[in-house]
Amino acid sequence: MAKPTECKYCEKEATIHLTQIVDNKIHKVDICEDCALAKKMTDPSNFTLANLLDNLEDSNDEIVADMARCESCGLSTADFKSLGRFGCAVCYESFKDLLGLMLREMQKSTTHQGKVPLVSAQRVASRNQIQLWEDNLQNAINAERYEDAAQWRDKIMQLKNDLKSKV
Amino acid sequence: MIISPLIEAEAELTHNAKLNCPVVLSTRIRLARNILDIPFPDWAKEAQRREILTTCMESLSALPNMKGGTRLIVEELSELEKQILMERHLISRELSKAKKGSGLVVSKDQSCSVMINEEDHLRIQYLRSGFRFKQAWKSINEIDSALEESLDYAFSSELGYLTACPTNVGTGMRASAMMHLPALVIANQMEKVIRAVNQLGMAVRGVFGEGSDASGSIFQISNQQTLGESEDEIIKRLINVLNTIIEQENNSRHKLLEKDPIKLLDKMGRAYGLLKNSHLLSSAEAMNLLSLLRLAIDLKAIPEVYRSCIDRLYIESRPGHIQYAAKTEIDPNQRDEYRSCYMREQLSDLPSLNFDKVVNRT
Repeated sequence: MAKPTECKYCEKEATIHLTQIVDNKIHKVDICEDCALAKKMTDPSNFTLANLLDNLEDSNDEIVADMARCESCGLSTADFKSLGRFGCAVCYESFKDLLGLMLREMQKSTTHQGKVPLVSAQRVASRNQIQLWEDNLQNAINAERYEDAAQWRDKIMQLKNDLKSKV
Repeated sequence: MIISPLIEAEAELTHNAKLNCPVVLSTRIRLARNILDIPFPDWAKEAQRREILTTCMESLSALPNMKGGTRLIVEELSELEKQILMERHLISRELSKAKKGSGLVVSKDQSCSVMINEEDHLRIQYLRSGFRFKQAWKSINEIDSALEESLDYAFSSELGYLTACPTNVGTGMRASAMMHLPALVIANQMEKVIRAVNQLGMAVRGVFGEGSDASGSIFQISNQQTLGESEDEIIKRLINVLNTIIEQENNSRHKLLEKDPIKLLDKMGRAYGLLKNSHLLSSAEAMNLLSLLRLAIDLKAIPEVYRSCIDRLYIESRPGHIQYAAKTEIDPNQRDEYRSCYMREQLSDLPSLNFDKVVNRT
């Protein structure tokens, strides 16, 4: 069986296949339903393939950029443009380039100067540290380095106790 | 009605008008905060929104400031209740229309209100009557620090507090003052003022936020930028702008009194007459008339003790509050009748305007 065709703009399977002859050249587009929806190709009343093709060729880069998604929450650039909001805190990383432009335009500068949530930030850092040490502990056990393992275990216990006493 | 105790209690907004605070009615600061690892409310699934609601309600209830406060779930409120809460600035239009799993916690004196799952997981708001930014910042900063003891905030050392909309990222702070600027409105100077204020990086809105009209000559002025300056710096800059506007308003009042005092006296006198004698009063008209009485207090034509009454009537003349006070379902026309009746009753002991201190008349 032939491999399913990939959508021209994302990695999903293309279920819509369009062919049209414009200026004696054959144009073919394989596209998935989502991208078709995003490009408003599903409304036959105001849709002509020729126009679409022109638009697609022109705004190819833009569409590719619009399909970029935050790996944590799945929000796409197109979603952000229509909602005007991010989906989660990780979006600030995922859409860094776009964000940089916006911040320079609307904010005083691009670096935070104000309050820092010291307690909460410290707690989050400690938890990340424990996660890292627990990985080390597991590796030490797997490699039968029991002295190392005991050391990691003690460190983890200590930090966990510190965290508890602060609550 | 679930919110009856809130409406009938003595609140910071309605019962604590500072004496001698002619131009700035109230000071407000809000902080936008989000919880780590959970999508922002608009993008979160219902289960995630509920999880946020439960966690935040718990943390808020444990705060000393919130002792004896009120906890409300938005989907349990009627349309009228939501409207009343909006008129009291305790919730935003956005929260009133929020998806399931949104809530509100209000402190006993209603100075602090926290919206849960509005645009951000937490919108902490602190209100003080009069022009008191230092106190408002001190109080809200304490509440925020206490919350952080039990909640993990989404924060980046480079970008600060991470918010759903990048217009709030950084401090997540919006500081604002509600200003009463009748003379600038009468003198047709507001457009110029708004342009100048915008250029200084501050926003001007009507009394009910974005897109609302400026009936009653009340304007909300706030900082626009949230990233790149500390909270203290933002507040300091805002205070400077507000002081300039106060000066402009006072100058404008002097000019009006110098140029054509009779015109201004006539405006205030008519407002007095209408509020005490009319039998149909729309909400916008009531606001505009009350504005002129407030100006009369500033000019010492009405004793200072009536200021808190006038400021309270600003809120109580809004449609939701009138509907609530009427106790039965009434249509807009009946509402205008009821409103005029309520004004006559509330202002029954208001003495005649005494303009002796305003101008020396011969």
